[in-house]
Amino acid sequence: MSKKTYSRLFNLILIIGLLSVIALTVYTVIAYQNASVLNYIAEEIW
Amino acid sequence: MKRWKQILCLVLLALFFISVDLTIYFLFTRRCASTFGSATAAKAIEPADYLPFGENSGVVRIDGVQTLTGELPVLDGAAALLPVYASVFSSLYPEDACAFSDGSYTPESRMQYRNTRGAYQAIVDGDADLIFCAKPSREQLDYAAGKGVELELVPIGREAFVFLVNEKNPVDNLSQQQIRDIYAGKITNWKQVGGANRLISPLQRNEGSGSQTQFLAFMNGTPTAHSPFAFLGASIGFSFRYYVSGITQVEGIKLLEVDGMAPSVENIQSGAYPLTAEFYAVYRKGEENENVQRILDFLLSEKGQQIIEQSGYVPLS
Repeated sequence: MSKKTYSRLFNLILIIGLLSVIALTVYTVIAYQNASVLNYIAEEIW
Repeated sequence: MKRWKQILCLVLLALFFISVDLTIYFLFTRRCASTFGSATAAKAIEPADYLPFGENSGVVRIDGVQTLTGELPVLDGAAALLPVYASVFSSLYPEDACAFSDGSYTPESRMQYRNTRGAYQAIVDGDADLIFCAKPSREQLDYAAGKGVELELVPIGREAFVFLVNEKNPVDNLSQQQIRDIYAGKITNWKQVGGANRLISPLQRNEGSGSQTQFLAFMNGTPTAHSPFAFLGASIGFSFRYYVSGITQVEGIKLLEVDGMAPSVENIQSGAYPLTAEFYAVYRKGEENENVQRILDFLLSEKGQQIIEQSGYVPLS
């Protein structure tokens, strides 16, 4: 794998990864505003 | 860099992001997603299960009561009290006064379901004539005063205001002071109250909901605060007893004892459980529709209190 190809792949995974984390975080924050307190507590991981 | 090192580096980078996403999903998103959307959040109870004249409906019908005639008051109220006022409607109203379509009551129906915030707004605006709710919040009273409306509150039953945790949380009992300290940010870890070494995540409800108003009264002016990392901890929330154990019946929830007293029907009736609250039928002062008073008289009669009891709540006496 050439250095250029490696660099492109690295940046691609980095951008996709960061975007997925940001999107999931935004979705979760919006969902949290509307979440049922009961379900939120019941689904807690112990 | 050798080729295998490059591939390893790319795989590790991808795995890192996948693991971050999975952690967020399993710790937080999954717990919220089942109720995602304002429609679901506003209607945590399914009104179709409590249709006044529906087959297999969860309402209580008292026979031998004279059906109302003339101008029929519009009933509305809190989710937690839907079984009560749907039962009142079923016992006193003619069947054609109720119209339900596509999961909600139609505008011409004398039975409505707008939940606490919507119901208080509706009675002030004149869109409802008698609502069934917990005490109004400061904002709801201000809204009424702003419109020149005075509200009359008639107690019709009692309920326990409960604090709840996940059923796996080892804490079973908290004192009122401990609960206030948790919400005030003075107690931040469950181990401070005999539980696991986990941060406490104190949850609240939307402003204007019946349980949030009750919670603010319980805090008695003590400001709330929590650690910025509290969301990583184990939660504590609040609600009304029958809403949790009777209507929604969500599994995985445990109601806490308060000051050593469980929120049982017996303890609510005897007053041993310290956080009991009355719930009310609310109407506009000066209401001229005589049927409003007839419904109130019925609610406070033996048969009316039967509805309260058979719907799962605690009658006044």
